[in-house]
Amino acid sequence: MKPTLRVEDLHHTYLAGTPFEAVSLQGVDMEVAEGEIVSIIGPTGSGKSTLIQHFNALIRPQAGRVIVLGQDLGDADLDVKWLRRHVGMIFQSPEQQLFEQYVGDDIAFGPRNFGLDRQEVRRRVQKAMHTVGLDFEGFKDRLTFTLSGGEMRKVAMAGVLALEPSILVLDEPTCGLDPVTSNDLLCRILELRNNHGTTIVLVSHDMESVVRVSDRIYVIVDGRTVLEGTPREVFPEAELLRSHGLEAPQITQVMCGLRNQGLDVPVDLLSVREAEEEICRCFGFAETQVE
Amino acid sequence: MITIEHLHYTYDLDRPRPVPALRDVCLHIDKGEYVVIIGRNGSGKSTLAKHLNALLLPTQGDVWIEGKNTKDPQHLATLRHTVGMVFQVPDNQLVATVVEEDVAFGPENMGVPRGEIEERVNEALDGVDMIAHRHRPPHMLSAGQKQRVGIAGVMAMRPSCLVLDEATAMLDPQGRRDVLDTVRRLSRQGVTIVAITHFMCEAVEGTRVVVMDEGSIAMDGPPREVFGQPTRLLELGLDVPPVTQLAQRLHQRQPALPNPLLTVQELVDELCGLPRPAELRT
Repeated sequence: MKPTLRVEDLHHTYLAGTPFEAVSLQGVDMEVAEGEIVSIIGPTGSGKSTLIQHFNALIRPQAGRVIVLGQDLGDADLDVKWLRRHVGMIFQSPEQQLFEQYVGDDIAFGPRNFGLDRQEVRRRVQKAMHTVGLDFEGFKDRLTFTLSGGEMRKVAMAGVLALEPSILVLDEPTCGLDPVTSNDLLCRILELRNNHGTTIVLVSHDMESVVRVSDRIYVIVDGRTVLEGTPREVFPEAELLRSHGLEAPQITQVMCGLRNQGLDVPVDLLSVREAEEEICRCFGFAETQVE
Repeated sequence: MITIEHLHYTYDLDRPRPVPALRDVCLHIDKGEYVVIIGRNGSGKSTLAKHLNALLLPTQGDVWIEGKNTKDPQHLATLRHTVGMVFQVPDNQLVATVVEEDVAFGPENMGVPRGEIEERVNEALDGVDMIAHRHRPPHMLSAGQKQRVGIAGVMAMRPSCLVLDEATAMLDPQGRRDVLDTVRRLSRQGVTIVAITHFMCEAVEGTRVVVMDEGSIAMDGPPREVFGQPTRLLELGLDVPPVTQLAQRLHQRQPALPNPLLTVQELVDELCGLPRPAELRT
């Protein structure tokens, strides 16, 4: 499939030519197909945030190319407004970006700003709230500062979704959320792709979240792509991940641990269910659960 | 060490719509305990933590730290030295331009003599394994390193209790491992630890888990007891770590496997210790 987002040998240096020069990206390659969910993982300071800020032209390529929805983001005459309508960015702790008094107004801000008419704005706000699981009637007139952290994050997400972007970029979406709220958010992300075909790029330090939603994973270290593949290909590389300050999800760790003990088990397992089946087979446990 | 009696706290008490955050919380924490507080967003965890060094004072009820009531203003300075706090975003907590100066800030403010400050800074930096970085500017460190400097800054005041409010939330896996190692070491040295987290695999680190829900304590016990009740935890907006889920399902098919198991290592060890049918042995 034709990639909807392509990064070729991307370099970026902050404050180049000054004593504070800091190399951030030194040759990242990446491809995301339409409707794919791709996660970017890497230790702190590996360049993940710098990379994703290229996707809606907050940073322009210094060297190398970024092509999004057929547009070369290095073009001097790039229509940035057009791009930002189609690439939605949800930064870390987006709840801090809420600024309107009422939930409905906050979500409507983007579409209004892009000059859509009243009816269309309302339709989009309604749809966006539905997508993130906020009841339109119940929440539109709530004061934003009275919401819980999880609710605020949903409002912030809805504000971006109301622009109906074809690519959605999320930086640490589950950070600071309780397990049920973060689970719910991951389900919404999957739904968004499954029902609307939205392409999703995710940055996260939480491997248990990454393993739940990703089709493919890019491991970025020191501004370079060091590993790329499906979760089943990436996570069994326990040694490599650990050497870069990362880790595999617990289930994969269990399987790797058993393999290290000399047991003949596959290590590319990701879910509780499949690990259960393999371990039961290997140890000759009962076929069905003992009641 | 810490005694909380019938603590109630309400935000915006003078507003038309007051928000009750804590309702009748009673909790006793002994010296040297490692208590992990979990609970869904908005359950009152952080509000409770802020009562432990008088950042908030009870609307009703009392909080006693080493026998001193937090409401008594004459104890305020002592309290802040007894209970040290580390928050989620390390950058907000660092004040100086050099690591060792940052760590010295607390004891300097307490009026500790110069020679002793040096001794405390050395000890604190050693405790978080950051001696090698003592002359670096904090903003050049990784997030995990910054958080460890934040902990050192608190430890230089020699508190007997360390409160961590989601101190690992923003860190990468390595940063999280390093901070957890540091906390474990301080705990072994006898420092009382109160840690708030959303990572269930971190909650198993403690000697005791307290689960908050709607401003009250919903569960309180050793990790094995708390994580042995997955259904109840789910009702409370929480979860058990994936490895505990797996172990529980395996236990239902092979009762010889103990339940609950809390870490990857435990499960691997227990599985490898089980007798296996002859035809399956390798």
